[in-house]
Amino acid sequence: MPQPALEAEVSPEKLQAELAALRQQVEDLEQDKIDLETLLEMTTEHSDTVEEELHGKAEEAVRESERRLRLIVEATPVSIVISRRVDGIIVYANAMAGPLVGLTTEELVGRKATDFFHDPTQMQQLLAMIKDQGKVDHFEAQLKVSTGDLIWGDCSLRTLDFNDEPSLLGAWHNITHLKQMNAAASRFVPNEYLGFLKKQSIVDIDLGDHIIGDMTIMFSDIRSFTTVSENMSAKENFEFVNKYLGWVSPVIRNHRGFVVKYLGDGIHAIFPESADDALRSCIEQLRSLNDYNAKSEQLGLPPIKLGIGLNTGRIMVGMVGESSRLQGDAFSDHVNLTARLEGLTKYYSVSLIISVATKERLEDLSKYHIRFLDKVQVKGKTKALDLYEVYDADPDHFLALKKATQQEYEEAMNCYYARDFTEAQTKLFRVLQANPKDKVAWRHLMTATECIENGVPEGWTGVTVMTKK
Amino acid sequence: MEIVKDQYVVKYDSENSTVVCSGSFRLTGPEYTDVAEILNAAADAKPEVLNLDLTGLEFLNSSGINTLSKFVIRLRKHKATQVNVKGNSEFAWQKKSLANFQKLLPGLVLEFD
Repeated sequence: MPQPALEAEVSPEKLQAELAALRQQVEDLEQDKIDLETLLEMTTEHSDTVEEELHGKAEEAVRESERRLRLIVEATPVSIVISRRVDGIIVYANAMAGPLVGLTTEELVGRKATDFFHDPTQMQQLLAMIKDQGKVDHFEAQLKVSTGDLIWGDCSLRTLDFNDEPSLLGAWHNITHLKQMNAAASRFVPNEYLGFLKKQSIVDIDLGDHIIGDMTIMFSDIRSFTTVSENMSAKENFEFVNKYLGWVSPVIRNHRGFVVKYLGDGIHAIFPESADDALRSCIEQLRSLNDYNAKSEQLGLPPIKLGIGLNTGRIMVGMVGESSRLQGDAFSDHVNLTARLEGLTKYYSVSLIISVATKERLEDLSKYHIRFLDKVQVKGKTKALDLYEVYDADPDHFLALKKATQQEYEEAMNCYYARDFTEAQTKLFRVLQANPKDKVAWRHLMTATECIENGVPEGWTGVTVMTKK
Repeated sequence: MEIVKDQYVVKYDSENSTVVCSGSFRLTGPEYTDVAEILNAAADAKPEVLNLDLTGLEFLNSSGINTLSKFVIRLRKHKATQVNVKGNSEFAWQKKSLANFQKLLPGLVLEFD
């Protein structure tokens, strides 16, 4: 190996230079090492600074968003309540929540939410809805306030974790006034009317809203009202009419009918569902009037007589007036005709007249006591109409007599229309022998007698023509 | 030379020997290669004075401070260059982190708006 020789050849200068280069390299490496350490330190320090800064900013952002949310919750006009699901204890209430139930917010927090429900089943209903759908929107619940009064609240519920506990957030809106307004409004436009016009609320009702259909129309009037009212003061009159209407109106409602309008002591009502509804209601009205009269008699008061006309046909029910003053009304020839029928009760001295159209729509005629009344051409009409008397509400003995003589009576009428006036006269005599108070039979007897005595004109049809309303 | 992005801008003005970094730097390590390229070019021009304007530098992540630090080391190695850094005291982190540049290059002049 030539190693020793080579070593020997290295000059001291070169060694010196190499040493210097090596020193420089070490120095550089040391500097690099310092640089790297500094870099590491700087980077770490920088990371910490930035991290701290970001954390601070995030916390500030959360605080700011919480502050903003609280501001919104406190300023909202809705009552907001948070209650624990485990025990229903209210853990948060905004400024509006206390006054809703007549308490301060401080008094409300810590109370049980269930304590405020008037009907505990409503609370159970709400919880069931939360279980099924996870939320509740616009549930109307009745709440008990601190004074003991009841209020109506519109409530929406959401689930949330509050202070790490499963809770319910409730937003409440006091709708008591709205409910009262609705109730007040429904006294002018009844809910049946709204449903009938397929409207949710009175707010949706517009001029011209209407529905057309086959319905039974009722007109009723107190026959002897003028006589009765003559001896009353204005106040007594009002009280009497209101007492009467207050007592008879439910009998209409209970048979799926509704009052279109009050006409003084008269009532114009409609039964959209069936002619049987209408007839049953009228019979009940007349029967309860009998009870009323029995009591009045004991007090020495004059009896009230009611005349009712019923007719069935296609009519239009809707809103009339002008946009700022609406009124429900019903129109069609059938309506006018019904009013005429009511008027005829006085002429024939009967309490309830129905048209043939109504009679034909009755489900089972055997359920009622219906007797042919007359063929009538009412004022303003060119066609004659078969009218029937319903005597179900007649006093018992009278009803029995009419029933017993009905066959004879109807045979008499057949003879009459067949121009066999003598036979009609004979049969009507027999009817009146049995029931001398049968005013209808008397009227027909008089007409038949007149036909015998004076003869009948050409083209005679037996129709009674009314020249007055 | 310049990089203009929505989030950040790097500009090297060779005439005035000024490097401007502004905006928000949230890049990952390798993404700083382009930035480093501009900075290296500025350093390698070996100007008498080099101005580093960081007044618009809102945010810088760790890889970013690393890139800038290496730039300062590179300038130190060239020895001849006087480095002036301009910071913005509105960005709190700059106060701490930029001062550390002086550990790498004691002659570096640091100024805040």
